[in-house]
Amino acid sequence: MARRYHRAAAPTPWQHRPVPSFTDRLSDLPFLGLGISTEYGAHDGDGALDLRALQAAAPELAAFLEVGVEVEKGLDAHAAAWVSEGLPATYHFLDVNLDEPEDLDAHWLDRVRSLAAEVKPAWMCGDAGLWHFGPREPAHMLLLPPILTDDAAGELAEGIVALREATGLEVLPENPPGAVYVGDLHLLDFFARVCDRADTGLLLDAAHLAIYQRVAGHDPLAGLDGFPLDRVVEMHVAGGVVREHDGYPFVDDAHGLDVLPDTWAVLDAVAPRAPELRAVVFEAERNPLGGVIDGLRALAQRLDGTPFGAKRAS
Amino acid sequence: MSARALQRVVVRMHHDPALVAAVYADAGAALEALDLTPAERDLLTVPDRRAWGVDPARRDRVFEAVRREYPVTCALAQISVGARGPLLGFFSSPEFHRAVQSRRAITPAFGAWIEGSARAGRFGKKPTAEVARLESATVEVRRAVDVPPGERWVRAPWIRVVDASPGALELYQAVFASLRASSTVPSSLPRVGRGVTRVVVERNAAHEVVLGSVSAPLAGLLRRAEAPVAASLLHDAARELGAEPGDEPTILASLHADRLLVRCP
Repeated sequence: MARRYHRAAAPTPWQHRPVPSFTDRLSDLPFLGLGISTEYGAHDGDGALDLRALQAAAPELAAFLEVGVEVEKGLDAHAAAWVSEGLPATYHFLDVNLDEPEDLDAHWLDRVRSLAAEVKPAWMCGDAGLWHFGPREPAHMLLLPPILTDDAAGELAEGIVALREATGLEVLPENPPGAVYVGDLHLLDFFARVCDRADTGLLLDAAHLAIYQRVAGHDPLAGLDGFPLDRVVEMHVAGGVVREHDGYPFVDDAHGLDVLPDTWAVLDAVAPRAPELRAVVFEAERNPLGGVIDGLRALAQRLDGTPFGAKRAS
Repeated sequence: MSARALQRVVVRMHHDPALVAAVYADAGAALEALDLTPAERDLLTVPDRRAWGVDPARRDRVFEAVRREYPVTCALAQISVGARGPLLGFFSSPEFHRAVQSRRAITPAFGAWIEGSARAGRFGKKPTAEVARLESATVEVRRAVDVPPGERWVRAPWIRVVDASPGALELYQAVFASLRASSTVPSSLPRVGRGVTRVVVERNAAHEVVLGSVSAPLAGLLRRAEAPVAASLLHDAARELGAEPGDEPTILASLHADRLLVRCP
């Protein structure tokens, strides 16, 4: 295969350093299988998932841990124990606005590199939205989706490339959840442009996509036909709850155990056509063990017969 | 098209129902100060208006992060109005909207809003305003970044010199200690009087923020060093403020040892 080369930041302003294309870089990304997610303190609550117990009971269903990280908090004891054993992990950022160059400041990048050295993630990923407003401040946890316009896609792509070059890790943007989406592009068109301009893969969150389609008044699978599904490296599945505000029905991305039909529909449509899918996370970190195992089994069953399922079985 | 400008308006609308109402009523008028085209403004009213309010706890969550840095101010303000709700009025204030639209931190913006509101007669009036000024300085020193070494002198980035009315420091310390010990505000509080005292707010080497009173000459000298200054000029300032000729190098060395002055380029 002929190698494609893209311009990238080089050690000196005039040195041209060829960067392998996403297609070439894919060969460095391992197949992880089914995994679970965590963030700081998520497993401390009453009834929360016991990672050790899950690993002991069904190791094939918890092949890796997606570690949600805010650099100012670092890793909690559960995540630290997991990575200290050298078990597979991914690094899910919770504290960077990728479309704001100012957010990739030296202090944050130093902390990211330090934590990445500890986690040894297969790749970085995270919601490509607004995590905080203004300079990074504690406890905002804003998480709003990006503006769905062409120039916003360009700014986001630049941030992904910058973070990839600064960390040496693949950076997979994730479609964030939201109650309000503003812009003139369909969310899948937006992320197709981001993937193309950043020459990157994608973390497609099936629950978030289903939420978007509902908010926008679309069918759950609208726009998938034209989407480059060979860019999908990771998927998320999580339970949601339909709620109502002032007579307006909406889906709360609650990370519960009850996966909504629209979310399953997205997974069922994407997984068979995503040849590079390497990781699927069941996001249910605050739920009891038995329910999580049942959820992971249901997920595994749905993925049987897909390229992902075949790789799991081999 | 400015996606960032639009994104910041979206953030503001998520926190301020009054802005949502204004934008849906007349987006052009509500956002006329911003560099947005009519087409861009129209994008904001495409969603179902009710969707902006599906997370009613959002403002409370963000406010809680702010409140942790203004514990005494918020405690006094809440007592004065009898509820936490009026403090969420910050999210409809010009200070909040200006901070978000210009990508500045909202925590200091809250300090400016609550101090201004208190000086205008709300939230406990002058005592709350005085404490807000002190806590705004604590917010600043927590965020201070080091300066590289050099030949000149500058006030240490982790300190602030604040003018405060007599009794303000004692009020702050009494309420802060009580909140720490029992999460309550004492029934009897130090009075805030007229006049001016000087308070140094410092983030110490252990990264704790401490407040203490300081003499007028020392406050004056530290203020002369708010921008980088040559040693000779700081010597002159020290003499103007009452130092004995010949003592200036010793004074500067002492302030350096006390982490009040640092070297800078």
